[in-house]
Amino acid sequence: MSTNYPIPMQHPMLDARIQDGVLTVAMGTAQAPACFDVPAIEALDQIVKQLSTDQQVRVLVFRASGAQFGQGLDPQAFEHMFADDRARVQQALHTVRRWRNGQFRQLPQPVLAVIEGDCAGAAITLVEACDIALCSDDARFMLNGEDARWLALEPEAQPSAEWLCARALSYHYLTGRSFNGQEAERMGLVTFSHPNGSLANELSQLLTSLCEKDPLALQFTKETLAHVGSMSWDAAVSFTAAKFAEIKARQADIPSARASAIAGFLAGKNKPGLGG
Amino acid sequence: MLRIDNSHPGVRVIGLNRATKRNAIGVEMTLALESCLMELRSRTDLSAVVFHGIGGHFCAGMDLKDFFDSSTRDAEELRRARLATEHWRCHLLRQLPQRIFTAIEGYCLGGALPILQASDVVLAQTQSRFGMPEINFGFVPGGQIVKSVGLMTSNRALSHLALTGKLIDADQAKRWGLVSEVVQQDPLPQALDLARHWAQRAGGSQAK
Repeated sequence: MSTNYPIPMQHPMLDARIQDGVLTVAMGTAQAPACFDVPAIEALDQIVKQLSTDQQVRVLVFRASGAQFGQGLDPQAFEHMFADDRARVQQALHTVRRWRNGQFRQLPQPVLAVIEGDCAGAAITLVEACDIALCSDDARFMLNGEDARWLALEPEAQPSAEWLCARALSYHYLTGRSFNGQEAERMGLVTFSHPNGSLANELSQLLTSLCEKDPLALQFTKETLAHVGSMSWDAAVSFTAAKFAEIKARQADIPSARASAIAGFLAGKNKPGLGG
Repeated sequence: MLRIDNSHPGVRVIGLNRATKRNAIGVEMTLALESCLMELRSRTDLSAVVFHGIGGHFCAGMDLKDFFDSSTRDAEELRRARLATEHWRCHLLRQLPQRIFTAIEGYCLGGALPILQASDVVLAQTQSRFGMPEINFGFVPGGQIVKSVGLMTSNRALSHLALTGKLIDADQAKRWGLVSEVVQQDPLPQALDLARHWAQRAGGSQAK
């Protein structure tokens, strides 16, 4: 049974519920896809900030309340606010850039996006920011959405070649042509695309698997993923040595998944993740 | 720990030979690998190297019993083995002048993945399985392994492998860039053919 998750700022486009350690942030409403104005971005950012210290949340999932994942930014709302408060609009765009440039990957929890229906503009930026993204085969992605003008004001908030094949990124961004879930998987925008009927089951299995992991090990794995790519080999070795020492120190004298998994493996009782 | 075959002109064949442990890399094997690769680095008469596993598996990664918390190894022995491991997988593999052809059967996990990343051609049998299972043991995958996998595949694939610990099959490994070709039978004969062919063409030169 899921319960409401207390969020710092309420917004009609956001609903947060938690069940068994999985926080699901549903965007939009049952009738309308998420179309973010500045307060929605600010409210979502507050949730993200809160999660960095909330140990009851093991996994964060972004999905739609209705049938469409999201249309990105609300151009009219941005237009109106831009006339009155340009700095606040630019701060919101900066926040979108911050999400994509690593803020979600710095959270201790794995962050997932589940995409069905249409996903356009800044909603794709949200997908990029997540660690793992699942979509349905008939999801429809549009890099160049109605909010293109606003994302263009903050070029680094546009979809990037870090998560997308650069050739495909240029093609779809400049032509405005949409692509489906299977193409999104081939391009690297999502991790897996599944037939509509099996998406819920795949998500359920993935969430169960992630919730079984040691939270500290997940956090340190995310830190490793975020940092070692740009390090020299020797620096990566040093980073790993420091992380191993830290995880052992923080798990000392408490029952840890690591100790029990290794003991069971060495005793021949189990082979976690290896088919036994 | 290693079965070395020098019978093919211009080619060095290296078999990981610890079948009872699915060729998990223990202290002796890592020292042998370092020694073997150091010698190869200066062998100008060899144009190709073939890696494979003996006994139906390529390699199950680092040996938990030797390298992790419960290791009963002498501290100095373990220190030397850890240095050797980082030496061969972070440096020597990348300094070899020869082309590397790798044949995969069974498990290819964790600490074995830098060999894949350093390989020019990877042939995998359909039943082979790839992954980073460290997280299933409450561990963090080594930065060297994450960096190696990140050089082969997309951020999406890397995140999934590291955070879920789930193994992938050979076809998925090919889609994600870890494997060059998936084959039905034992991939070693085909890897050897490719290596011999390359050695004939290279004729002792290494132009890598």
